[in-house]
Amino acid sequence: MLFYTAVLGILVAGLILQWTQPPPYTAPALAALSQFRLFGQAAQAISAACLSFLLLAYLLGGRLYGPPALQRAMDDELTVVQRAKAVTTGFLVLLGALAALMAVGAFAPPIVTRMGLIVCAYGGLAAASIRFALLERAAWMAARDE
Amino acid sequence: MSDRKLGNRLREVRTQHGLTQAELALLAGVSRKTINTIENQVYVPSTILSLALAEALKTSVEALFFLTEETP
Repeated sequence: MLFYTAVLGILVAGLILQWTQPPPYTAPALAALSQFRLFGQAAQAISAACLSFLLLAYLLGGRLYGPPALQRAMDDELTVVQRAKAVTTGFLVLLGALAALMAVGAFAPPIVTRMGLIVCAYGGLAAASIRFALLERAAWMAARDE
Repeated sequence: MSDRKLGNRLREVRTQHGLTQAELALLAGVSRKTINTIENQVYVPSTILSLALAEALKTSVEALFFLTEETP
C-alpha cells in the first residue's frame, strides 16, 4: 500500500508540475502543434485535466461526479475487482516505462524528468483504462448473450 | 495450493426459484453481469456475496458452491 501511495504521489507531483510551470519542453507528439504556442499549451492543459479526471475516477470509483446509477455500477463487486486488475496492469506498464526510460537514459542524454513522469503516467493510465474497458466489455457481452 | 476450482449450482437453483439473472442480481445487490460471470465460472465471488446469494435463494453456501478437481 505504501509503495502504491508513493508511486501515486510521484504521479500527482508530476501532474502538478505540468500544470504550474511553463512548459520548457515539447512532447514529440505535440511538436508540430507547439508552433502555435497557445494551442499547444491549451492542449497540454486539457490533456493533463483529462488525465487527472481519469485518475480521480479510478481512485474514487466515480463518487465525485457520477449519478447514483453510475456509482452503484462502480461499486458492483465484479467492477471493483476488474478495476483493481486494471490498476495493477497500469502500474506494471508505468514501472515498465520507467525502466525503459532509465535504460535509454544510460546510453543517451537523459530526458527531462518531467517529460519522463508524463510518459510514465500516460502509459500507465492508458494501459489501465484499456484493460478495464476490455474486461468490462467482455463481461457485458457475455451477460448480454445469456 | 492444490489445483482445485470452485464450481457452483447457481443457475440451477436460480431457475428452480423462477428467478432471472436480473432479479437475483437485484436481490443480492450486484449487477447482472456479476451473476452471469459467477454462473459461467469466470468470477469467484467474495464470501459476503456468496452469503448474500445463499440468503437470496434461501439455501446454504455449501448447496450453491463446491470444490472440484481441476482436470489438466
